[in-house]
Amino acid sequence: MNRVFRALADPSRRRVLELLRKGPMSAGELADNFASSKPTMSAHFAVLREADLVEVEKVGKTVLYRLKLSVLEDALLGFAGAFGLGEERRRGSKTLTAKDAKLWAKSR
Amino acid sequence: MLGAAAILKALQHAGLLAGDAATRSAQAFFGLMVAIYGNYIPKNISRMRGSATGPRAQRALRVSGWAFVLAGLSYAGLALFAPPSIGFPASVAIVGLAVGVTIVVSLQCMMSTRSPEPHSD
Repeated sequence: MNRVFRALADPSRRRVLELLRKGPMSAGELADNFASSKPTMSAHFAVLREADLVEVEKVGKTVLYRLKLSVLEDALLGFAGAFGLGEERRRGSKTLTAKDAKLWAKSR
Repeated sequence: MLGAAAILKALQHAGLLAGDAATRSAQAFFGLMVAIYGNYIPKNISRMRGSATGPRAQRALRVSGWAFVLAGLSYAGLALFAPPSIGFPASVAIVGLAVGVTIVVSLQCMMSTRSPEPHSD
């Protein structure tokens, strides 16, 4: 559950989940919605995969992401978004936390 | 669930649970089980592959999950706090409604998979 809270604490990751509500999207399509670099977005995707909030499928050369939220996680997502959790950290810094960067390095 | 019901019955026989407390507790437990089951319905997206896992299937799983969670929690709440004359029919109706909603969205999803998904550019 800690992984879920950590995944939902970042506004960019919440935005990824909101985008996936519309349906499955490729990694490139998701990254195009953010100003962050592709490696940064890859790290965010890794955190979401680690928390089991997204389902990954390889279709040819494309990596497709699907939303995989339980009802409780869906409610937590709405709660975190409504209260703007992590927004002050996002305004102050564009970099990942040390923990997220470590997780991304581990997933490579 | 059967184990929990047996334990509650034993407690009632032993005089540790008075009145209809055992029945209410068993019904509340059932409601919680329905809610827990409903919570994990949307997670089953990983079992559905191919064209069925588009937006419509995702929506169907999400709606079904929420329907069962709300129905289960309502069932548990009514079982614990409502008078039996109101609580039992109301809770059965709520769970029936959740099942109905699930069937409707599932049928919508099945019928729509026969027609192409709208492609957003």
